[in-house]
Amino acid sequence: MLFNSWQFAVFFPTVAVLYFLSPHKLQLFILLIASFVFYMAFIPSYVLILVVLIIIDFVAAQLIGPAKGGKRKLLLVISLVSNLSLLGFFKYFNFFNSSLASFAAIFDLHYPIQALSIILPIGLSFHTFQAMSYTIEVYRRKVKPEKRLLHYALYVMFFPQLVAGPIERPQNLLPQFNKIHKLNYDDVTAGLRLILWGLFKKVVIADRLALYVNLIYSHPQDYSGPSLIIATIFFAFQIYGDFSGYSDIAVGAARVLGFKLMTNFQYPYFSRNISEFWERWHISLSTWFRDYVYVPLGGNRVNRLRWIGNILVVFVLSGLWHGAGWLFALWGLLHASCYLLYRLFNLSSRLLTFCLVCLAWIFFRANNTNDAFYIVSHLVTGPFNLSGYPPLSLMAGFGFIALLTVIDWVGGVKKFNLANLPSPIRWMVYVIGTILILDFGVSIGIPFVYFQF
Amino acid sequence: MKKLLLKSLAFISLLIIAQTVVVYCLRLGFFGDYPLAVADFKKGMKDFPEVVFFGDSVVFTVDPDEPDRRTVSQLLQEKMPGTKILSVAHSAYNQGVYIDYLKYMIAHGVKPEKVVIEINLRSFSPISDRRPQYQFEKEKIFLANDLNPVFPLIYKPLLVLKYFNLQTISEVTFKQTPLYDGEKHIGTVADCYAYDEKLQREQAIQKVFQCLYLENISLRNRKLDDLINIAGLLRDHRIPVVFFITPIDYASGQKYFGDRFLWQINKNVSFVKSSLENQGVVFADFSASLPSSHFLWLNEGLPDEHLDSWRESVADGISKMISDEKGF
Repeated sequence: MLFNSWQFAVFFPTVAVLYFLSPHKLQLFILLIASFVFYMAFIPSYVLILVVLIIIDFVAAQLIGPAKGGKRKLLLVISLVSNLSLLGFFKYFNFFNSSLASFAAIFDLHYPIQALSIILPIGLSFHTFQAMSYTIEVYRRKVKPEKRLLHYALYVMFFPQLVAGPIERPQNLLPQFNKIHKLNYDDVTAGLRLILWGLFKKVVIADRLALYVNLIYSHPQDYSGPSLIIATIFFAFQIYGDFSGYSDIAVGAARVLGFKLMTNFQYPYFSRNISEFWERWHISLSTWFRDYVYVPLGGNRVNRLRWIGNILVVFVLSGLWHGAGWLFALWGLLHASCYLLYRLFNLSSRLLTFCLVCLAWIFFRANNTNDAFYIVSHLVTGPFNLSGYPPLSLMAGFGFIALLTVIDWVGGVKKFNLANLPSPIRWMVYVIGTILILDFGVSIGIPFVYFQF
Repeated sequence: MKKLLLKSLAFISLLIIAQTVVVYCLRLGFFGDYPLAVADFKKGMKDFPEVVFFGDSVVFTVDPDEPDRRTVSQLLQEKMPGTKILSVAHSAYNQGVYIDYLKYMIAHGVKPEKVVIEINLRSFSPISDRRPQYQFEKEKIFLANDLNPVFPLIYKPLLVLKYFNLQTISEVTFKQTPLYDGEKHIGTVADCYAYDEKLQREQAIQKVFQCLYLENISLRNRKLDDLINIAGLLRDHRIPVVFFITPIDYASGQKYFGDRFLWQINKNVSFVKSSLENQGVVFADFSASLPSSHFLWLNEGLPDEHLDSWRESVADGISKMISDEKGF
């Protein structure tokens, strides 16, 4: 079920009303059933993958808890391998298979394994990572094994963050299922405010920018420098509006129900360097890689060469987490290179960081390697050509980017809070915002970018 | 809870007022989305036409080099000067959208003396039937909701929230649709998509003929189902209807597939005809009525059904069918 759909507009208030009208014992059941309904709205049978994942990790954690020594490690490995096998099969099988087939073709070798015709279960990368963080934390004795299957199932399946995060940690989310959540006016209004802002970013800003981005990136060879640069800048704000919009809706929906999820974005395009960018962009994923990959590899407490290796591994894995393709790996590698350059030469500039991030986005967005390199090599060529794209729509795109930037600046840097305004002005903003979403939102179904991960 | 409820109600009321201002005062109701074809049809309905003629590009396409600029629709009106004919024609129009226009017509109390429905054989092929751009969902939505007084207020919000679906068939699904030659599976739309620059024109033409005309039409075919529904709807409302199949370039098809081509065309036409005649309608078959020289595509491009000056003979045939007392 998409957040920007009429189904969710009916589903969410219904769930919220049922949830608050029910006694505490029933509340979690309602949330679990709602989560099943939410997930099964995509491909119903794929819920079985989630159920298997939940059972494996629940049992594994129960066994890891009291176990000692090698057995403890073995159980963790079994749990992680199970999670990664599911992820590997659905997400990476065809990627590695086609890579091997291409490799075999170079040497004229017969490669008999055919590609599988499978659809990636929506949000699989998100909930496997969330599930793994639970067993790892139990292994590290930072979290006690959850005795109630219902609570653990909800930890993995809690519908606001089920398909595109934030990737929660057990320390934050699990204890919240023990609390009694009564209707809280402030939580509801704060949550609704976030939902409204998230929808605005997605439907009005990101999807409108996507129209131009899709046009240019579908046939980049038809365009020259200025068009390619604009499309790349638009994509930078499209993916930001899209994903941070999704996160805001997720955090907002959870907040309405009384849950506090972690912040996933903190005005990333105001970062002064790549290191800061990753502290502000998809925070739940970057901290996941920091805590469960970078630090166990030794982090920066190793010699310089190994540290460089650690950085490369983390960023390339982060790239591959996003998508099973070499372009994503290259995207990760570019970020790793920028990160290393920053750490070695201490270069700090908002503009430079934004330009580097945009350059890397080309590899993230391009349909194939040829397109990506074509775009990079043609950024400073040729005349500007709108190719039939309405100039007013292009202007609107820039206008929305400016609006997003100003709101981020005012909200993030200047710490302005809409809630502090007098209520007539606040209400006017809410009404105008809602009207803009409902009347000026893009109606073509553009899926959330991060849904594919 | 009470405070929240009251504030929610107040917010919804404000929203409705704001939306009313946007739609009725700022006149941004449909945000330029209102389909021109529907507006023209509504205008035409006000004249209470005696004949409503549904067709696709075949009925309005004229070769740019041709001195006679009259379309099939215009020729038809000239041949029947005393009859008010409303032509409803658009490129790639098909049975799937005709039925919505007819429902609208009936709902608005317009009862013509005859309805004429053009059937283009290519419309039965998945390449045409399932092409996302040929579903005309927006027109269907506007036709279905015209009588709903709050439609202007809710149209755009429901579109943004994806209640109204303008793309019922995705490009991916379309490309994955299987194609058949007779009953033999010959790949998917993506495989058979003939408009591939790598193909020589001759190969491309052959592919078009195979993919568009050679699949066995069965009762499972969506377009045949639409035709049967159209016949049923008009019969229930006692509106006489005649169907005719447009000429196709069967001679060129035979060049590539031999007699099998004409055999398959005849088989499909017979099946469509018998399925419709079961509904008691009048049916004319012009499918194999013209030699290749009358089709415009031969000069350039890929096979289609657009005609040269022979349009007049088609208009003649239709006018005779209209004049005929029969209809069911």
